[in-house]
Amino acid sequence: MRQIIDAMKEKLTEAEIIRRLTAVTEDEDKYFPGVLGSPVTFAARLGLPLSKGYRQFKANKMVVQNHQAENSGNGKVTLGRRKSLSKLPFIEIGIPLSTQIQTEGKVTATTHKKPGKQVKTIA
Amino acid sequence: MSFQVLVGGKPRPVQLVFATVRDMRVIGNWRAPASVSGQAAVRDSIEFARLAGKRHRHYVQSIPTAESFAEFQAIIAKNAKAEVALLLMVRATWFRRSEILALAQCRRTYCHHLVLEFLSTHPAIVGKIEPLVKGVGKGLLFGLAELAGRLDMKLIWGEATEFSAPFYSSVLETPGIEDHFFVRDKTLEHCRWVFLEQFFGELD
Repeated sequence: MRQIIDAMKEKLTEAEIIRRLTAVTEDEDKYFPGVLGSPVTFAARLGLPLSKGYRQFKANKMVVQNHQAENSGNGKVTLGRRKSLSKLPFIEIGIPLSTQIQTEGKVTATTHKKPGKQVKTIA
Repeated sequence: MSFQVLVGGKPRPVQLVFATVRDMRVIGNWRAPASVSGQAAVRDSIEFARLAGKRHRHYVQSIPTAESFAEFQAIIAKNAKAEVALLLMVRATWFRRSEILALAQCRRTYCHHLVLEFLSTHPAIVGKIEPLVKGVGKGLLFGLAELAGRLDMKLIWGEATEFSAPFYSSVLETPGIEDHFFVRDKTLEHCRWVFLEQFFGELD
């Protein structure tokens, strides 16, 4: 088998070699992530320390990811604003900030409504 | 063993060899070009290079470590159930950033299977810095299959992550790979065939 392959290789032109290599690597950009495995789980499994720079990089990345998750509720609230808003009563991130409460067809107050909870109205 | 990769669209030969202690220093000097140093995969690549050195030292002190094909065979001839650590590297003289383009940390288990613990390419290759080098990671994986076949190993297995699972599904032509993969039987033969036929793998 190998002799056949070796004999075949001798006859291949560079163009054919390039064609085959291009074909076999064409999906590399799409699928190959550059590394296979996770340094974090690998290091943890053997009790090997991660480098300080890498731990800082992962920590920064996690902070960014958490911010994105928090903001994804309504897509508008920033972290800074969230901190200040969260101190106010009836305010939750990810829920429309105001809901008009109508009594007998008339708007009597504006407040925040929590889904599934009793609505408070301001008289 | 050797195989071909594409560099800027042209074929270039690379060697697939066992790593030695001296190579640990070379791998430890892997650096990321500033323009791509913020990419997660690039940081992972550098961290894997550092961990490879630590892991290799850890293994050298705890289980047999093979630095050549002959040494590997000698270890298992002495003790058929030995766990053996292997660090395989892709080496080339034409790559200016480092003589080592990629590495794969593996372990031979007591039942003569091969575990792929991690595989990493040079940060400049991960970051797609010019000249673009293609086929190193895939060639190394298929080269492992050829090595396993030559050592009469029936199985290569390992853990897949969120990012590597689609790659394994693609290259092993096995849809639906989740957090682990197995390369054996027809898949192993297919990988060996691709290495010899499409990566123009040559045996020493």
